[in-house]
Amino acid sequence: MQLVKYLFTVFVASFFITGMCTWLINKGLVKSGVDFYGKINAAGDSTNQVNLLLVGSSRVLVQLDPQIIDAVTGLRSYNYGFNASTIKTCFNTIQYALHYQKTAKAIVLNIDFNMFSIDQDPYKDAYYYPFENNVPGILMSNTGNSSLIHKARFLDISLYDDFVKFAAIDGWLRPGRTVQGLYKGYYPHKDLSNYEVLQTDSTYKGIAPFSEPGIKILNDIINLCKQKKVHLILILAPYFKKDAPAKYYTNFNTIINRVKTVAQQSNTPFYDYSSMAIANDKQFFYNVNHLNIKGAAVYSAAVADSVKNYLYTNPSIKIEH
Amino acid sequence: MLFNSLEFILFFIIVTSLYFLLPHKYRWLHLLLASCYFYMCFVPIYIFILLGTIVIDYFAGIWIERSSGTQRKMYLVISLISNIGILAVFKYYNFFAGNINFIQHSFNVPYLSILLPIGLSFHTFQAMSYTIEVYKRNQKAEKHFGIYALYVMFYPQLVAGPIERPQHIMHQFYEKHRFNADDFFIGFKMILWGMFKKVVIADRLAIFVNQVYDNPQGSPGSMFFLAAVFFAVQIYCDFSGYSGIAIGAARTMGFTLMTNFKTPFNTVTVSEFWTRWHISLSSWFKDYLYFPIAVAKRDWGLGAVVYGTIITFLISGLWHGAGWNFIFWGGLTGMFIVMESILNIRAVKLRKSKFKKLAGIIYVFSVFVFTEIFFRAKNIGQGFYILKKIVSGQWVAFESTQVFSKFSLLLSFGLIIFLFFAETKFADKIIETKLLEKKKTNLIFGVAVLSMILLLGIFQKLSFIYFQF
Repeated sequence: MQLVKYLFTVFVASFFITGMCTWLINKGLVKSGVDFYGKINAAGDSTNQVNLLLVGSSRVLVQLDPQIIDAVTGLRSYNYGFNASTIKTCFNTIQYALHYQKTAKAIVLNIDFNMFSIDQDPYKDAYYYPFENNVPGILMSNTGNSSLIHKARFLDISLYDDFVKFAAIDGWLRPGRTVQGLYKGYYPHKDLSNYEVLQTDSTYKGIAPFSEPGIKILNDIINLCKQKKVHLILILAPYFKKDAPAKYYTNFNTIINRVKTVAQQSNTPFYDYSSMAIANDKQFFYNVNHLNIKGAAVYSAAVADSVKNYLYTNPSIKIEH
Repeated sequence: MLFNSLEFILFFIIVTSLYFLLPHKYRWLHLLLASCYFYMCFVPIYIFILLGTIVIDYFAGIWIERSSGTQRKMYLVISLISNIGILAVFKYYNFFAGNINFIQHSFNVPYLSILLPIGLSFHTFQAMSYTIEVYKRNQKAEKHFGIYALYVMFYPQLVAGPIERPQHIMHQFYEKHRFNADDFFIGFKMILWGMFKKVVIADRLAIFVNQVYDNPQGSPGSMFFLAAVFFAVQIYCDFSGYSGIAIGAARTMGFTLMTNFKTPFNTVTVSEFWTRWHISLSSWFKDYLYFPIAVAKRDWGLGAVVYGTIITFLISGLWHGAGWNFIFWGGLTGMFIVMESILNIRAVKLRKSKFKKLAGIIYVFSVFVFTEIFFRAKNIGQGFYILKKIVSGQWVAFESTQVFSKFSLLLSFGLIIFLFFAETKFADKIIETKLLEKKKTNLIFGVAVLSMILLLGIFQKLSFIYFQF
């Protein structure tokens, strides 16, 4: 009997402490103003409405300047780029943002050749949207047991890594903190002096990770946008041509052509900037995959121009500013 | 099935409950079937390898007991060859083939595309200790095939030890264990503490260590230094955590397995360290390898100690892994022990002075960190590359990465300090207290450790390092 009493007390007390900490962490995440949670909180802030969402990986984060895009298009945009995000991350972001951003009219989604392997998604949804109860479909796949654990709410803590815990502590300690150096989610590479060579072996040949479920998620994004009456625009950002991944990854063109076919079948515009003029000039690049602030300005203007042309010259589209 | 998984918790609850519900005469069968299931959760087909060695050693034991003279020796040799032969094929074949091909390209010895059966080195050594002990007449040959099979396969220690001796464990399978609340209580606390070491400390440090060792070119010297220190703590928490869970799981059913770790970082010489680190393996090597060598070469005086130690540690290195870096690691460790023997550095003497004791602890930890660089490196070349980087002066401030932040770093240091304080001051004492003793302390211990596991654990089901051996 003593043993049962002991075990019962230990488990109940530990689960109570864990539950309390989970609650505190979720509250802290909602208060966080930096990095991932800062952006997610910005997306969930219905008092800060935007109508153009810029979604994708670091090739959005460091390359698309909302100030330039807003100036050209007359829209209010926000950069929802996250480092190393996959198509799954983009889908989660879009679902989340569209739930709260009621004035959203268009989404610019950057396509990366390596974003379709969703197994490698660093942003497991149960980890990154743990505080979210209102958005249906966020916790739906690729988290395995994690999403099951998530259903037991008070055990969410087992899903949090140190980054999440720190973000929550930061949220509690500095609730009014804004994202330093970021303008509407944009975080450019300001260093113009060094071009960082990532691929040195010119004979390297590899296969980029790719999976069919990734294409299915792209279709889900297209369908969601149609359902929400939001215009989806797909773009392919430039690579520094001399070291471009198309030279090293044998399936690069196959993946991009696959996306183009999907876009064509669904009547979704696809703008390919991979070979635009600045792609030949190293001075615009931070490394092969990323433009520096100078290149980002040129590229943002080009994207803004395409968005403007698409939205304003299409007679079926009415944009309310 | 990993100890740090939900599946294991369910498995443990079912197996332990059924063990006490079943009549005594069926318990061995229950444990044997559970152990088979546990082993088959990894690579099911490899159960037949284990079965093969069990059959050979079972009959070898009986025949050794019945025979005498050269025939007796022959049966022992057959048993040892079959055990070592399986190790040689599954663990060392590709290593030797690679070396032959490196020396003489024209041989072109083909490689085998096979997975290493999990825990092979552990259960092979346990099986060998049985036939050796029967040969030495310290143990009677086991006539009950099921009990012998259980001796090799008992699930808590099947895949990573402790490597038991037949005299210590075999008779326990015959004993009728009634449910004992104190045993369960102590076993539960051992499991909790083992889990804490594994999921809270080892798996957290593993994130940083793997990141640095997987990207040697991109990591500066300071990161390697930190990774080397962290790896020393990681491997301790990983392996001693596993041993704690294994011993605890057995204890809940009334079985006592041998202690595998006794605060090894609280030692003042490398020789003393190796009497408290992986005790079941160290004592195996001492009894079956070092002593026979030292006795055979006793005319050499100190030379016998030097020779015996170096050979023992080289083979211990090879036991840990089929790579020159492991052999080099073993050799290095042996050298330090030899040096202590030659210079007559004794732990008892050093412990008399507080300053010498502290210096000794720092020395032992530093040697361990240094030698473990070669243990963790992919090869000797990478080991030296890392050492060169550490001493090169390429020291930079720690920067958060995508997998390990400054917060993780601070948390890791805090947890390491807590671990060493707890292990030297109170953890073992609390774990060994019975149900009706120190009730408040036990309650705080249980709640604190379980809460830390839930709050700070890394639940990515990372495997245990020693599973690969």
